[in-house]
Amino acid sequence: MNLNKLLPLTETTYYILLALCEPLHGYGIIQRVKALSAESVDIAPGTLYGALENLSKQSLITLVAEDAEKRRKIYALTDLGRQVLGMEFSRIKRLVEISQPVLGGTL
Amino acid sequence: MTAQISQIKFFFRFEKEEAWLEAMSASGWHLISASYGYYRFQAGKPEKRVYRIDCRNITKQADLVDYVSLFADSGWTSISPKKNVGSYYFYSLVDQPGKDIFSDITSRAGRYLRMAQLTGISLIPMIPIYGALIATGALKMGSWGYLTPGLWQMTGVEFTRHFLFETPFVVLRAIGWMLPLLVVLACLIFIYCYYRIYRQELTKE
Repeated sequence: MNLNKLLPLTETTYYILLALCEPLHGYGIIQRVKALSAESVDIAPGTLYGALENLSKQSLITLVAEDAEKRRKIYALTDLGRQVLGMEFSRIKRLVEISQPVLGGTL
Repeated sequence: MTAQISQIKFFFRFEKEEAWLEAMSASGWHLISASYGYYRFQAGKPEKRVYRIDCRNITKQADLVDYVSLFADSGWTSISPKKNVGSYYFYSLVDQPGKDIFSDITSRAGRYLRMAQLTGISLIPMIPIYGALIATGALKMGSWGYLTPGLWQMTGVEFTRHFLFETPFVVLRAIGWMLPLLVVLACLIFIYCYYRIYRQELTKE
């Protein structure tokens, strides 16, 4: 599979993959993304559920366990997911590096 | 015993259905179940509720529990959720502007795409059913004409009497024969409408 086809990731997808560097259940992801983004990104449950379905289908994340009450599924990144997250990180980093000298103090 | 009422209604737009449920709650009727246009309400004290409807194809109990828990954690109470029904109803008492179950346009529009897909899926079992009915001769094209022997040779009052007597039966048989076709046609129209709304919603600001 050509992983470049999956890029660029949407902001929501990037945050979800970033949050899943440690295994979390759905609401755990929402809270982690909120904390990582200093409260600026609040993913709603319907949006998250659809995103988790898609990411599972693309094998970027996988089910690893259930919580103690056996109510919530716990997800984690797959090797493929980690790879895609890394590729997106490098892409954004490169954009920032290219932009810096051009934009410098103009913004 | 708390008073209950039921209503039958059909909505194409989730937004209109949600607004209607919110108005019902504001007048003291709270939704207790909804399936395919049949709604049941229970009397209670008038409340300002935010209702939201999601469309999902959930077929396993474990998936349903996980799905409903995610919404519960986020402050949404589900109303009699069941497997394999396609539509899921939630409400929240949190009166906070912009409170929603979707946080971007694509996923909000996506429920219309899923409605179109689920309507399509519901068509699949109809194909073998209709095929079997035709194959076994239960539905015969030739059998829904006028059956009175010699009807077309009759004249005058005799013809009119027999013709008028039999016409309602012919119409009934014709409807019976066409009913599966009409259902399929209606489904195709629904799929088209849902897909059109999906395209509209995607480009909405």
